Amino acid sequence: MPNGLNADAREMRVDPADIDVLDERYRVSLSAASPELIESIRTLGVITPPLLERTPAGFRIVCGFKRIQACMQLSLNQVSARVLAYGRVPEIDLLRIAIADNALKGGLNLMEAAAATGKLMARLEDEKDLPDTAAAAGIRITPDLARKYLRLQSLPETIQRMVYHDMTSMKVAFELGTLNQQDGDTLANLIETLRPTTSQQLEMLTHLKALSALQQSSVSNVLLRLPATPILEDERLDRKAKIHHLRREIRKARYPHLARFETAFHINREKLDLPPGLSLIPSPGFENPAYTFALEFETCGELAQKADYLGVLSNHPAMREIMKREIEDT
Amino acid sequence: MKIRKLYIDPQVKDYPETAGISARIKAGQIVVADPDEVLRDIRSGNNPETAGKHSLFITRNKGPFIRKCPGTSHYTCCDYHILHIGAYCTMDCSYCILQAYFHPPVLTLFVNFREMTDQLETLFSSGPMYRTGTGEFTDSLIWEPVYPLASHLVNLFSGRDNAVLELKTKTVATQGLLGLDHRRNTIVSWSLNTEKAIREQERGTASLDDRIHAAAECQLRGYPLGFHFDPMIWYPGCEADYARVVRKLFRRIDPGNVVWISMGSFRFMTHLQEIIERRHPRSDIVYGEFIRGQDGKMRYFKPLRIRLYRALAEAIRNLAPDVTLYFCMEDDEVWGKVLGYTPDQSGGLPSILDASAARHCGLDPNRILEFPRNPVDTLPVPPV
Repeated sequence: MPNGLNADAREMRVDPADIDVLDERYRVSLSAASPELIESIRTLGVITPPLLERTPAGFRIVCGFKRIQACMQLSLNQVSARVLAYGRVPEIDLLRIAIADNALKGGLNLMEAAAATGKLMARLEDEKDLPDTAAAAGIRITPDLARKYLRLQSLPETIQRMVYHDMTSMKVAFELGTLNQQDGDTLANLIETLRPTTSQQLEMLTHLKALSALQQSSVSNVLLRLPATPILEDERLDRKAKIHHLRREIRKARYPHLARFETAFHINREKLDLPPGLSLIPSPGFENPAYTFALEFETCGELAQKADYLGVLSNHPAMREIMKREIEDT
Repeated sequence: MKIRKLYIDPQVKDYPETAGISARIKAGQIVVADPDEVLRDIRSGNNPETAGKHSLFITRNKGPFIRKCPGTSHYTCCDYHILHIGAYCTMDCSYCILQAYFHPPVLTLFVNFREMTDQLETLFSSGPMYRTGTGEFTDSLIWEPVYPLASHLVNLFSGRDNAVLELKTKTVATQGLLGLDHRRNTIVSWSLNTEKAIREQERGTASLDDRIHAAAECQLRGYPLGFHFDPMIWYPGCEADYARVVRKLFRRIDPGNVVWISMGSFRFMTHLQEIIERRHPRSDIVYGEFIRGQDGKMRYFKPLRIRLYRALAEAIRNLAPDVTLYFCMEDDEVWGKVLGYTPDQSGGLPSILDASAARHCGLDPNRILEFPRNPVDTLPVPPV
């Protein structure tokens, strides 16, 4: 039982060479030992001893994969550890200890939680026990979340890596996972290169998938048809500008009529030469024919001046053009 | 679509109608103690929307048979009355809202016809004019081979001076209607679309030629006709295709016998998209240039809709200049730009349609309610 663990584990010095570091059955954290950890162990030694289980061939790690890795990188001959007798504690409990050790230290990221879930489920006789078992290990997993975690683990490695490094959300990852390998890799590379926000990723991905369906072509080919490569290779553009231009091109392809209409609206609005503090706002998607003028003023004189300007606008050719609300043929 | 399971509500198991339907449908019969059992059964599979098309639940309509179409906010509704005879459909149109409206959707046929008849009699005896139809929650004629409900309704409406029945369909199951004494109180209507849209989006429906042929047969038997270009689907070249449909239609159909033609473009609640993508993976219908409409539904970008409607309206006007043409759920801007007037300028859409029904079906024009009408409280119905 985990409660009796401290009594059962014996503190001893272990040669790292006797530890089977390839046995990762209890590994939860997916990151490697950081330079800071290595430096700390080099100067201060291991403060919290790793937890090992004795095996017929030596030892396996329950908690402390990174600490052991750091010791090995420092070529230490001995490391302090707490060691459990072979088979003394059931696997599922050792796994719970491993999860709790990680979860309570700094929390698990999505991929680590997914890995922990997968390992727990593999050892549980009844999936219904998962929420309680996980809760005892310090993480909250609902059945729905468990399904999502398992789906996450089934995604290609490139996508899992992005989730792990917090470059994308679970939702985007699932969307990427619906693409074929080549398309998934293309978009994963794009995201890794440009680092758009997750909402920008989702927008681009949704549009590209729609274009792919409409053009009956792969997402990669859709991107090739857009001026994506010149944008990405344009050295005059910084990362944010590249994202901006790319989103605009994708949107133009996805909504050609709407984009043309918007462009015409913007051109005509420019022609109105509105003074600062006076703006003309269309309805969302231009669905409602009503337009709104937003007028900012600080003095009555300013208000009168802008009100006069509004009166003049109704006869402005560009205003009349805006109010026509006609779509232009290509 | 083959019915594989026939669920029977114990309350109707001894109805003669149930026996008649059961005898015609060769499917395993289950008398369910609890209607939720049907829903659980349908839900248990991976594709409940398809499972629901293979199971028929025969039951009672425990609510009102007659409901007023609620329309949606910001767009003009035709003030139609829905005769709720059942739910869902054996055909499988990609865009069908019924896939998302019922949870889960299951073919349902109400057989407490006596109550329905009583409610209709009450409606007939009230003053104003009613346009009533069965094609809102289901297709009006899909059950004709199994039970001649439409024929019963045609007889019921026959000779009334304040009510018309509209049977709206994508089938050609009109055989049973042809010999009836309808007295022009029944408008037989077809949903029309381009051949490409029918082929790609309207799985299991009759072809365009067959629909027009069936309409021509009904015309020959004196039925007034209606046509609904709804949902119109935009794709490159669609305008020419819609014009072609109109030319084909009026080669066989007398414009003078057409009570109305409606136009509406594809619109959908956002959660339908997931269902369409899942159930109709080859359909690209959800990838049009949609914006969120004022009622929250996704609609084609308005100038695009206007362009589409103009092309169709022009084609219709060329061949049938006097036909009553209207929009289902559009706003004044669309009306004005396409038809040159707004409904309010002509007394309101309900009155326009009532007048056309009165003219074509011989109803009493004095029964037309004046505009604006009082809203009638009704039960919720699926959005148009």
